[in-house]
Amino acid sequence: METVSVNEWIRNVIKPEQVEKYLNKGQDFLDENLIKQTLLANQQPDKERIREIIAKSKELVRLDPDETAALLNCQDEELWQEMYGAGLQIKQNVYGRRIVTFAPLYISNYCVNSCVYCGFRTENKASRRKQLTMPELEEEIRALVAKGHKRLIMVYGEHPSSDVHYIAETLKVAYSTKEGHGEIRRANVNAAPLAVEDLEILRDVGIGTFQVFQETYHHQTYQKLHPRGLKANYLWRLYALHRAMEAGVDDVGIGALFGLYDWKFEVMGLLLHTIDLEEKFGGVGPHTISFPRMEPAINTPFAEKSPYIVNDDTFKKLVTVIRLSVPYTGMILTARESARVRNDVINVGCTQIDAGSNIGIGGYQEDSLAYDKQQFILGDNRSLDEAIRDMAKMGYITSFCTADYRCGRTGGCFMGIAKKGKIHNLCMPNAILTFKEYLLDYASDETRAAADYLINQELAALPSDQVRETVIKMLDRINQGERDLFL
Amino acid sequence: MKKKLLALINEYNGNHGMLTACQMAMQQLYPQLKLRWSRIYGSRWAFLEGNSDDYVPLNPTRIRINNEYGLCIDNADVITASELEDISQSLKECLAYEACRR
Repeated sequence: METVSVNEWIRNVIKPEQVEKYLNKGQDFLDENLIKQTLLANQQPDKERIREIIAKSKELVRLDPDETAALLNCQDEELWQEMYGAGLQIKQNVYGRRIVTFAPLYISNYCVNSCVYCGFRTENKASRRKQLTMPELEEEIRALVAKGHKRLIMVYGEHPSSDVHYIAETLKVAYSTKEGHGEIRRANVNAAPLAVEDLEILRDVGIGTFQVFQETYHHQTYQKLHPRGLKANYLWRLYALHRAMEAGVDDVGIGALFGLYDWKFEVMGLLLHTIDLEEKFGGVGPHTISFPRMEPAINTPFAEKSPYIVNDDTFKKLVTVIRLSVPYTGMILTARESARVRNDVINVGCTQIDAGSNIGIGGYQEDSLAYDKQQFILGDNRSLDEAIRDMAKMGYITSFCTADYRCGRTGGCFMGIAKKGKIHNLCMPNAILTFKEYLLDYASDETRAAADYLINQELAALPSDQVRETVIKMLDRINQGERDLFL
Repeated sequence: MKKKLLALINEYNGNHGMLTACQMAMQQLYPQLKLRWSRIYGSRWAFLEGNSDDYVPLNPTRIRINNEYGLCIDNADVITASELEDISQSLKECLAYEACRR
């Protein structure tokens, strides 16, 4: 009985006409032959060509597929070192020495899908199922706000019980819950692909970024690893973010799960996805790109035996190539990775991290680790305070800024500024202001002592005296007790 | 100034939608202002159009025109407080009617 109702739900969710309209002469944008031929044709790039491509990237111009393929095929370690340096330089030119920080909030792990690598797959009897009620969600939000968080990515299993109306309710709770001085100011969503009319419901309640990861762009591998459920439909997922843009959710996040198929192919897939969004939506591509690596999960042997598992060295390379390929887009490095890997890879151009993360349903309020309620096992269990302190020691200011999305700098406006390499002029003042709030309201003495210098350092680096004076006045107001000030 | 703004909006509204008419009138009357027109969805102010570009706002002002539309002025300090009030009232009058018509 349940199988029938789930199948009916899936049939009702998927609207084929909302995919077909985006196809190019009946074909999806993920041209596997093009990827394979481009990778083959650029197998042994010479030094001069790689350096030309790096130079193009430094001009903040998105790379073409053959250029990305050349970088992916580079065998010269000296050139890789140059690429790592270029990645950091690009990131700092576009976004500044700031790292945006958020928390993942898992809301429900009921799921109709059968993804063989995922702890939430419907057949996994070792996974304890849980969906937060609204009062439970409110407690989770309070626990997160009490730690200092301002930004969330809310994650939902793909199931009729977490349909668009449930997601919309949870967003309303997230935005309306206050705790002390704080509140959640931006709630992003990672959920099942939705139809345009459902995305409009999320748009109307103020969704931040809508994230859907394709996991693998390789058609055959996709079918093999997603044999049943809503996720079995490759195209419905592939065009999820086109529909989001059409619905007016103009900040979208793409991603691939590395370890399912060849890493070079997946990077090319992310690039083709970016290009297709840019072509179809007036130059506006993804707001963020994510590149999680597959991690162990309870009762999920595939996650440890895949032939495509990516080692740390290759991971750093693929993150670097994504940075150089799409120089103006935000890049998210999650706590799936260990603190050691994160502290290294953040330096090749990442812009966002999660910290103090707990991915068990109800995990923040309980302040516990429960592997049987998690999708996978986290690599970095540092608290938010510890992560901020470590970032500060590396010279990065943690930003909780949510100003852009609340004052009309979304979609094409944001992308236009980012592509010119000017977004840091707007973001750094807001990073300083939100960091000051954190230091005053939530930081430990140790973190305050280690991180306070960043305020003066970044004030000194602001682009003009006028901006500096404005920020100093706002810092005074924050010291006097005002909150949520932004430019 | 309020009369002039309303007259211009009415004039442009003959050939354009009300929001576009407001934008054109504002640009003509206050070309020095850095503006971003937004559609409001909860706490999300989604960009519609504007001329603010990468200007760093020193005196940012957000005007909630009605439940659907908002205007961010990044340099409201270049006009007087009474001009700002006139702008706010004029836009609210014009677009309140527009919202009712929808």
